[in-house]
Amino acid sequence: MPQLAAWEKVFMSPDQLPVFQQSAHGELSCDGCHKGNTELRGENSQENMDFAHTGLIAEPSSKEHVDETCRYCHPNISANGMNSMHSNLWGEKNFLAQRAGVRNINALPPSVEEGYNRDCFKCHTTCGDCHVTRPNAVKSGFLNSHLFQKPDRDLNCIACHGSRVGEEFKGERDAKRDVHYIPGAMNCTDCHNEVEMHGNGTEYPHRFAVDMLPQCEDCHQEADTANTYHQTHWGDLSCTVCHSQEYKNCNSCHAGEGIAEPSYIDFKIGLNPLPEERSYQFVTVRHIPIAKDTYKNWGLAELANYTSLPTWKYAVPHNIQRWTIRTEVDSTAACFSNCHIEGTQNREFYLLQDSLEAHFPEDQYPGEIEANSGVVVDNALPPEWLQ
Amino acid sequence: MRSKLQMKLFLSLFVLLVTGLVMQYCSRDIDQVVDHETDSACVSCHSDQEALLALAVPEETNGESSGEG
Repeated sequence: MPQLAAWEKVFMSPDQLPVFQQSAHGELSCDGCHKGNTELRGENSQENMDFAHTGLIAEPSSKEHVDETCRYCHPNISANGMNSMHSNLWGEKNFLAQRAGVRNINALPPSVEEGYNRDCFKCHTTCGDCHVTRPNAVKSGFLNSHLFQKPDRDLNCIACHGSRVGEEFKGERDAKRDVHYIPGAMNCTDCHNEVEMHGNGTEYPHRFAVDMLPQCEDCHQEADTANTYHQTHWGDLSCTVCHSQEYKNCNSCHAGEGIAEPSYIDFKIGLNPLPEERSYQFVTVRHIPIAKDTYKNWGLAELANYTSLPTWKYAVPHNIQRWTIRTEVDSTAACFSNCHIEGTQNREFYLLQDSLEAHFPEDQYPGEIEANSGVVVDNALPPEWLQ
Repeated sequence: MRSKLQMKLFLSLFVLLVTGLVMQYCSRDIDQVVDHETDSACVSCHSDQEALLALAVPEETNGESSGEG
């Protein structure tokens, strides 16, 4: 996403300014939230600006200041939000700790926390990052002249969730767009509502543990009996196994450096790595850009417990289509002909041991095979499929 | 006698004035309804493109940030 120029970030257009001033938040004084000085005390514009900005709080909804601003009128939402996934990135912290072999990220050397705050935590959000400005991760800037509004799909959600979810959703990579991408009609918040986004104050271990996540069945209420495919596989396969298309995967990211290898488009069905949170047996899995030495620049030469979590991770690709390469079957063929393995046919859809070993050799990707031993599907498929 | 009364009156008014000022300061809060006059300095600059262009701190060249995903 192109960044805004410095002046654009704080520009309140004259036609929108009265709209803001007449809004509920426009009834608050500027210095009520931002502090600083509202008088003109300088000899010239530069001095006036310097004086006005002395003691200024650019981000009043940050954790340090939210109690004196947003929380004053929105106590519950604000308190919950400050403990939410978006504000704290609990999942990333917990997975880092587990792979490092400790119970909590705070048990790691201080250099890890410093590195985390420097390289990762810029992606956390505040109230303002979703409701007033673009998020900090894309260098901020007013959404619309300081008007408070619902999050914008492109300027807020996709600003952070752009390289995978955003591209998939809008069909900007090899696959078709998501069927739910209807500009002007549907927004991210239609599924991911404020209850999920703000949280309920619970510190969830990771995002799939959040019990307020949307389900396809929230809208598709009678889908379980809609056709033979659904009646046969309902509950065993996640919806995306049949209805998502190929999606982006990454390998080997190093904190402070970035991705070491180009991303690639792939589609893999694996065993569900989160059986406690989801009851499916088979789900789509995405390779995440973790490696044994991902955090070497933070003083962790290797992750001591790297193999305790799979690197092919539960995924919900946002490129849903009714008809995909697996569901669009020729009328003269068997209904399973595009999905079940027969000889060499359709093997590419599954995370199989031999393909894992071929693509992730141990000398190049140490620990990869062991880490994903619980996700490969070989032992869960009908034996005749792999003969 | 008269000056003593005057002194008492003056002291009472002074105490009232100080109390009023302290109360006003203490009740200064985020939800004070704005007198937009006091915000005119902020607003006059932030709604003036030319002024912002002249004063804005230059940043690094616009780039791409794809986000984490």
